[in-house]
Amino acid sequence: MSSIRRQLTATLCLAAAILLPAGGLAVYWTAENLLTDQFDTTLTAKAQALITAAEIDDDEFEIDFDVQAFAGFGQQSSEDYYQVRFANGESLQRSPSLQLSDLPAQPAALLSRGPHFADITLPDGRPGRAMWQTFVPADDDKKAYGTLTLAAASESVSLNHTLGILAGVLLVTGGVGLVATLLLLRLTLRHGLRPLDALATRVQDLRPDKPDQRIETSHLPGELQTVADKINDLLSRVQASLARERRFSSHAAHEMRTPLAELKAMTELMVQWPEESTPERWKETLTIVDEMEALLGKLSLLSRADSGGQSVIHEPVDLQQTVDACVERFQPAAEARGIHIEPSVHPGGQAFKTDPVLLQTVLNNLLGNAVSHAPTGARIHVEAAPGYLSVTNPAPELAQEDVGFLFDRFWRKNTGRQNGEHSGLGLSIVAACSSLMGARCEASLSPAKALKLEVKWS
Amino acid sequence: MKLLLIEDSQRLRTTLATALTRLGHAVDAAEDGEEGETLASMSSYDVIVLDLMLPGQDGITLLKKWRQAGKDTPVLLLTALDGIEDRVRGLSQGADDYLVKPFALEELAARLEVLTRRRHGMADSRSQIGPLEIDFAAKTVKRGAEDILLTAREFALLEILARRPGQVFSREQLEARLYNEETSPLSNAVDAAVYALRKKLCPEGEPALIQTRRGLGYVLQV
Repeated sequence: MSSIRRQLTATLCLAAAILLPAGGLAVYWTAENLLTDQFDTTLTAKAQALITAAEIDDDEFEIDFDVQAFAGFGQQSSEDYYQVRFANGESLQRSPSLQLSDLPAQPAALLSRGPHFADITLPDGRPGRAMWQTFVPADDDKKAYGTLTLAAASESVSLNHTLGILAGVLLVTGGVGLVATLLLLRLTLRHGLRPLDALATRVQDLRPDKPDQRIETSHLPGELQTVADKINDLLSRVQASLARERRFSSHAAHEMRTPLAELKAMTELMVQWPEESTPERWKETLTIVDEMEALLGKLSLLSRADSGGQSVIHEPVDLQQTVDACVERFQPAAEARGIHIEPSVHPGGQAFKTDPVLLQTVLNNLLGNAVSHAPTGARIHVEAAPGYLSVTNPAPELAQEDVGFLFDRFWRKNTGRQNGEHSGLGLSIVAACSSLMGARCEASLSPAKALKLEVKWS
Repeated sequence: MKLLLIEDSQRLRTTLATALTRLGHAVDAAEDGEEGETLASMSSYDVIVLDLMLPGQDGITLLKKWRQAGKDTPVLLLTALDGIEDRVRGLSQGADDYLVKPFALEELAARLEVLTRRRHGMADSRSQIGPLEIDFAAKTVKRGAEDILLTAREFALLEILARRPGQVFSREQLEARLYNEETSPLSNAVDAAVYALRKKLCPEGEPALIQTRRGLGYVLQV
């Protein structure tokens, strides 16, 4: 399993391991260049002093001794060296410090006017740095000397020593810094990720049997507050879903328990007092069984719809025929209550394709619901068109706040149970079937208390 | 005993009322909270059997009202809600017992008996009253070793008198406890029932256990 801490530690350690040495190298390189430039500038100044002081006097090449001394070339024990050579490489003059030794000739690759610089080994074996510069001595009117080459050199032990110290310091501080950085990174990550660990522990502590638990977000850093808010939001939705499920199970149990109680009481009554075993009572027990069967059918349909197990076959449907069949089915019940059903079908120019079984289920439930709940003598309007279906009926007992619950399973305006006819599942079946057909069901209550249930195909 | 049954399921209400009447109880039945409240305010009941989910005024609201008004009639809740929180809610509001649907008639009758016994401060369903050994749960009566066979109505009458031996019950009181609101017994129905019971309880020559107090009513004298 990947770990954010491990990933961050690895990435940051790698970055530190690359960046810290790279930074040290950059510092060393910059310091080396600066010191070398400074060294070269000093050497150049000394060489220029010699060149300026070089002249032909009485056909003799000479460099003023005062200038040599001033430039640091005058003593045998001097740390500075020079040597003047003819163009053919033959030595013309050398500093006392060289005694009989020679400075290296100008490298072939640097045979141009110069100045040119290079690291050399001094005749005494010490490291040094030299520069070569061609020049024409003053007053060489006869051109007897021609172009000469001045090689000037100084020991670079102190420069190398300084650079060595710098390298050492950089190496030690870099190493210590790297180790310290790694430790600091580890500590910082551990400390920085502590709220994440705390959040993980809190999430782990959430108990499935306590869906009302939430994560306290006030003490969390901003980045994790968003995560915790999302988790809390998810918990709220899970809680709502669990509550819905629990309500559904409770209602389902309630709906089954009551007819079971009726059935059991009736049967016991007839067993204990056989004279109570009348045909009417047996017929009633059969009615209870039928109602339970119908309820199970509804629950099964909803279960199939929820799990996606209900097959949906889209094929052309005859709207007129479907509506007529439904109206005919509920006509006797409507007439018994003095209710008038007014169907209005607009077939449209093209064939309407949907699942005929689900459409019939939707229409049966809508119309059945309207016939059962509309007041005596009311008018029910049924309107159907390709992609549209609506049933409108007066609902004087319904309040505006009830509309939101109409599609809730087992919801009834009245919580009591007069008999087993109405389980409160009709409209939730309508909603589920509409969804399966690719339609949505909406309910609206007009100020005049007319309830309109519409199914709209998208 | 006299019972008030408040149950919105018409089938269950009718069946239970029939069965409980068969068991010798006087049962008044109501289909909703309002009707139940009216009946409870009009008569005195030994136990009220109350459904929780009722149309209009639900059972808990009704129970709270009664308890707040100081009405201490034992209430047995009868409901399809079987969750612990539902039971606790009902009991915490003053219900005396709780029965989840579906249930056996025998269990309902036994619980009603327990509630009545508890109300009368009796620990046992059996009671020795004079020469009579009465089992209120089994609804049996013995005089010595001899079983006395009583009808449901006769036993109900004996139960009323035996629950409070020595207390005089007027004819109207007995009538109210023996018959429900819808039954209009003949004017001498109570007298006839007392006469029949008195005969069964005492062999000839023995002093009558149920005595008549002229102008007052009847009493079980032991």
